[in-house]
Amino acid sequence: MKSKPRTRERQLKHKHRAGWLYSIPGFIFLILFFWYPLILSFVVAFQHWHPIRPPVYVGLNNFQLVFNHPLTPLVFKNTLIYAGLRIALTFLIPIIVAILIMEMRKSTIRTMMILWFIPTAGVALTILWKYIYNPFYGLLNAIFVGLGFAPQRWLSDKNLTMLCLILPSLIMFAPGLIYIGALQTIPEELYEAAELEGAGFWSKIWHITLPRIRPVIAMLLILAVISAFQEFNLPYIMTKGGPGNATLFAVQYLWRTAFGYMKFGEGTAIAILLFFFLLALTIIQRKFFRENVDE
Amino acid sequence: MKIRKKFMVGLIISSLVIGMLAISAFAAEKKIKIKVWGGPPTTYPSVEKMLETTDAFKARDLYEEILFEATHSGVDVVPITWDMWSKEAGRKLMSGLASGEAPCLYYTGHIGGVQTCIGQGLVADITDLWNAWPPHTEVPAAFMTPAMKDGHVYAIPQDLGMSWAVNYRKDWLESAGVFNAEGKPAPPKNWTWTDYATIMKKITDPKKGTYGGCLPPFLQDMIDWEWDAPVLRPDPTGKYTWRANFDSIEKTKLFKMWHDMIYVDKSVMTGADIWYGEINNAFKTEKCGTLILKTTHLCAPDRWRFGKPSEKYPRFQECVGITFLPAMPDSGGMVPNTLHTNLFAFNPTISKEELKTAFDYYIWHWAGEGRSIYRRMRALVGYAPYWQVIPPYAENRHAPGLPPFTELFPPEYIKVNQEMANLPNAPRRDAFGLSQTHGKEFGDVYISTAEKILCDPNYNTVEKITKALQEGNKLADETALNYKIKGQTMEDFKKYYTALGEFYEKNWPEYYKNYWYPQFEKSYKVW
Repeated sequence: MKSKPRTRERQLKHKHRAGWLYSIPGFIFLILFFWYPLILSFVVAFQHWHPIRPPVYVGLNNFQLVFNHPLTPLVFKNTLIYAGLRIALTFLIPIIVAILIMEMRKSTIRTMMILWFIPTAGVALTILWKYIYNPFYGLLNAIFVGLGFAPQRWLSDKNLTMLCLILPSLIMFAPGLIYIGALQTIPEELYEAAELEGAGFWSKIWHITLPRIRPVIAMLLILAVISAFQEFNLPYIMTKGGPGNATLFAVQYLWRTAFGYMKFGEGTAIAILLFFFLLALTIIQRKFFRENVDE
Repeated sequence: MKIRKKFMVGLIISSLVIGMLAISAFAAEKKIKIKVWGGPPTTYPSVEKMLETTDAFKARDLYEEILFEATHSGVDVVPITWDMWSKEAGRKLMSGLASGEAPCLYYTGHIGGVQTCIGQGLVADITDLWNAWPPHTEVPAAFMTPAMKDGHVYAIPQDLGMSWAVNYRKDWLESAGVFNAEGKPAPPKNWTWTDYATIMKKITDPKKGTYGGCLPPFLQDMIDWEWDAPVLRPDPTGKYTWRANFDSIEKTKLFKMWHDMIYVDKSVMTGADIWYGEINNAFKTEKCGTLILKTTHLCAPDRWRFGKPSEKYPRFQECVGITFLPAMPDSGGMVPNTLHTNLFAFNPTISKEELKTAFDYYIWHWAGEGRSIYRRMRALVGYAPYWQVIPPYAENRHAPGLPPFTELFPPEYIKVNQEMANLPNAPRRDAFGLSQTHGKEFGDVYISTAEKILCDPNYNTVEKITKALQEGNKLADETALNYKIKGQTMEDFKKYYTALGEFYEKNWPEYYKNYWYPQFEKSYKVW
């Protein structure tokens, strides 16, 4: 009689051990490529780091240099404008589009889902967009000239560049599919009950649809905010931060400082600042954006 | 007993084997291993397979490796494939240096240039090696001064020399009625930016959507850096070495001319997204009638044609002319010597023996027997040795057996290149211990300032341009120029600017009178 619990205990122990063994490769990967660089970056931010000389501790000097750098306010202003515009255009619009699509025929919904699901490689698409914007032989200018308008310098006009960088994000960052998926989980009965009580289209959206997909919106909003503030590929490939630093964002700024000017300490200090900024933003977002459907 | 005997025999034999191995390892010659850039790709499973592909260049790399090892005993050449030119090259080099995987020689342009690297300790001092190589005296000063600091040598030129030039479509100029004094479709001799603007206007066709030329902001920086242009002035307070001088008399004037061509004449294209590749493509796809580029870049592909690769389209040799960069108006045709090369520095983490071997290898590779192999091979496979026009090494300039590239390139091309090489060389600040050690950061500020002006139609007056240039000065002063060179004195400036003044007065008196001296009085004379 006593042997049974012991066997179960042994089985549990075995399972436990197996679980740890299976996780070891993942853990090693995480430690090597995530935790170690993360911890190291906190160390490098307080050092004058050099690739072949021993690092020198400099205290808060790197942070001081970053705060006093004349480009820092401009870079964070650019990043905020870009993130704001990108979230407004690429995050909110798909919610509206997804809701409207749900009102369509089932076959249309399916087609739209397939279209949204077409896989696109980020860098390849960015390069493609660079060609679309090319002032000499770009598709956009060909259409413009064909319609009788003057050709534009899309990526060189400071009034247009920011929007030109956001436009590809409309396609590359497409949460519409996830919204449609979330919308399909809302029970039909809720809408039927609302209709019986005389609720109109907007009323149903406001009182049923949006509260029901709130957890998805909350999760995607956090991801969208983080990815917008960490944007690198688009300006790096398309504008290199130009014209006149108009599209120089935080990550490109830190990359350029560290690897372009070999100021690794200062570059890491920018990364740390960005990290804490995003952390604070996420905490605030989680505090004020309720995720629970029934709250 | 038997077991004991067997054990003893086994022990003796294994001891003998281990002993012999140890003796042979000890006796074996210790080889000096150098990691060189290039080499056969790992994708070929064997030499035979590689040769089957007729990849002559890779075969030559392998041949060179074997030949160098055979003629230099105790050397092990290890070719490694290394990204030397992409946008990511600088970052990869940093990682390679930190991990000990970097090659023994590398291009420094992606990590700030030689002068920056000297300050950072990222390049080895090769003064003794360079001076011990007798033909070093034949390498033109224009190639070497940017590689030196305080009389020490830190880099060697690559095997190619280049210069900034304007390539133009002769057929476009002919159609627009642009002829020089000899009646040929070409810009006039000693042309100025005013002439350039007039020609651009004539060859632009808005209906076809074609432009006379392309003047992207980055060109301002590239052209300036090559000729030691007056974008810097000494700090009069002595607190720092340099202050930015973007708003100099000639820069302000030039920006206004470029801006007018872009927005008033609409005869040239510009853009922050236009770089080397884009201007090159615009010229090749016949969107632009002229192209400002380094001489080696365009002349290489003797095989390509404008339009589709078909016999009916004109070949490069038939319709592209080449000429000097335009001069500033009222400058007496002052054209700077923009002759330069890619500078390669040696890895400072390698040992003294490895450094010497690596130096010997690259001199052999670029200026010795290795180079001859390369030249013979190129002649064999029918390629033009296009970068032989102004090569840094004398061996490459005089060696017999050159394929007749005059057949591939028009005589005027060779002539212009040789004339460029013979232009007088202005004294370089590097030679006076006055290096600008934050080249990349300073260059970025300059390009962003140029973008601000050239990509915005509102900067249409001299006052507005001056204001933008002064803002650029402030940014450069606070970021890239906030340092003082150790031991630098006002005397250094006196020597440098005196030599520079004498140079301009002698070679370009009109430029001296109208541009250089007023600027000297305004901001250079600080002692």
